Amino acid sequence: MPLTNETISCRVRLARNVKDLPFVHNMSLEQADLLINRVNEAINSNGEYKLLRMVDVGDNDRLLLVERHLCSIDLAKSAKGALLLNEDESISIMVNEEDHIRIQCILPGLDLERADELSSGVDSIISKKLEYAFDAQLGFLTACPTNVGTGMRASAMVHLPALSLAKQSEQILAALSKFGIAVRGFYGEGSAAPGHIYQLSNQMTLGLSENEIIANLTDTISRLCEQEEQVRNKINEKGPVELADLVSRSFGLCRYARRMALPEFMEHMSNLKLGVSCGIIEGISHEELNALITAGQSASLRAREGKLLSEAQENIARANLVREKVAR
Amino acid sequence: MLCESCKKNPATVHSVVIKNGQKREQYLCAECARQVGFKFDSFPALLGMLFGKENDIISAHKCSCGTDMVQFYESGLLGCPNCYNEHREELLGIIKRAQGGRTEHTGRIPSKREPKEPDIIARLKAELAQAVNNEEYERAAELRDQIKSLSERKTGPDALNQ
Repeated sequence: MPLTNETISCRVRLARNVKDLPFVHNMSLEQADLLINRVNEAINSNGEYKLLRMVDVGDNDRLLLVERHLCSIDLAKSAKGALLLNEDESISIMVNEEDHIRIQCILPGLDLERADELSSGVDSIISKKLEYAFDAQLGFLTACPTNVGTGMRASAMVHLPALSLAKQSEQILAALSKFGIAVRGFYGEGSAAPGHIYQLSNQMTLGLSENEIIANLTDTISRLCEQEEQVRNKINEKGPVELADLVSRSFGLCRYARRMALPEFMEHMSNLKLGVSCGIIEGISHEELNALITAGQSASLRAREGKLLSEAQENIARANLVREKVAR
Repeated sequence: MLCESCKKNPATVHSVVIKNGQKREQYLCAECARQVGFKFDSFPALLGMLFGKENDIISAHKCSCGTDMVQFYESGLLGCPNCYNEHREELLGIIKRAQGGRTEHTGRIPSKREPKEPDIIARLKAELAQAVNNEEYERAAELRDQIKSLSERKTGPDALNQ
């Protein structure tokens, strides 16, 4: 799997609208419901996808979908929305989000080409059944004109602890906007970057082909990861004790703590991943830590405990989970 | 240009009202536009600035879905796909600014929709008639076989699997 050390996951999302309906915010509930049925019939003839109408999904389950990045917060809150989810959850199709249809494919590591292949496969099946709103000059038409053209948003979650430690991340990430790349925090738009995890995505959707968008982003992230590795090695050479101390303190806390708040948890996960990359800690992989980061979020903990949790109870549950996974 | 109604303030709204087939154009200031029913509470605040729109003239033309550019600047969203035709000129400017100067799609196009089977048969029958007319008998025979196999598929043993 390519670049799994630094790239936690990658995603391709395609925005599509059908020609004969108003955009979602202008649709009646009946029209919205009709569209859900049309998309479901177009893609789900063999029952490959689970259809979840948001009005039928409980509060915590909706948050769980958001935490796993399968569904946007806007869709989770919408009475018109539905999600089609395949079995391994690599493909999720949001119906009636800002656009009629948003097809997303999320894969571990940095494999945007494969994510593009899978999402465009779904796109092609749907477009054989539903007539898309498409303009010869502007390409795929979207509710917000900033998404027209390919309608493609490609992104990746990248973990850059060494660049953060060296206080270089802000400067480097700010420069990326000049290359048409937007940077956000782990929780999406407007969020900070807990655990030094950043979401990088393409800004432009028009005038570039899908392949160019994917190649630009992949190339930029690969170079960013190389820089991260260089800085990591430098930090390790200059102050091996300091680095080992930082990682080992987090390792110790993860093995013995009885309460752990979310920001602290994200910081320790980041340090453990750094420790794995430098060979300071063994016996746990990046994949396991990536899965633990998802499992340690609030809604995932509530689902695991099977009940609503106060903040104090949540912090206890999180520490229990971390001890179980790290202290083997 | 001064507002055509109060003749005092500069005109910032281009109002186009089509009533009983008659088109009436007016250039109004924000105050007079508000009095004839324009809403732009959040304009030109955040969204207007985001889309690079400050004090230019906004068209009051409405798309058949009821959306005009004032509503667009308030919400950042268009009403329906046809809005792109109805507000094309203004949108092209916005899109150009948002997309780094680009205004031409160079990516993929939608897959061709599957025609329904009766449509294919009808098309083939028309082609067959044409081929017979042109005395292209080989082509006609080919078309006849294609029609036959399609018609059989619809009613034959495979029909259940379709």
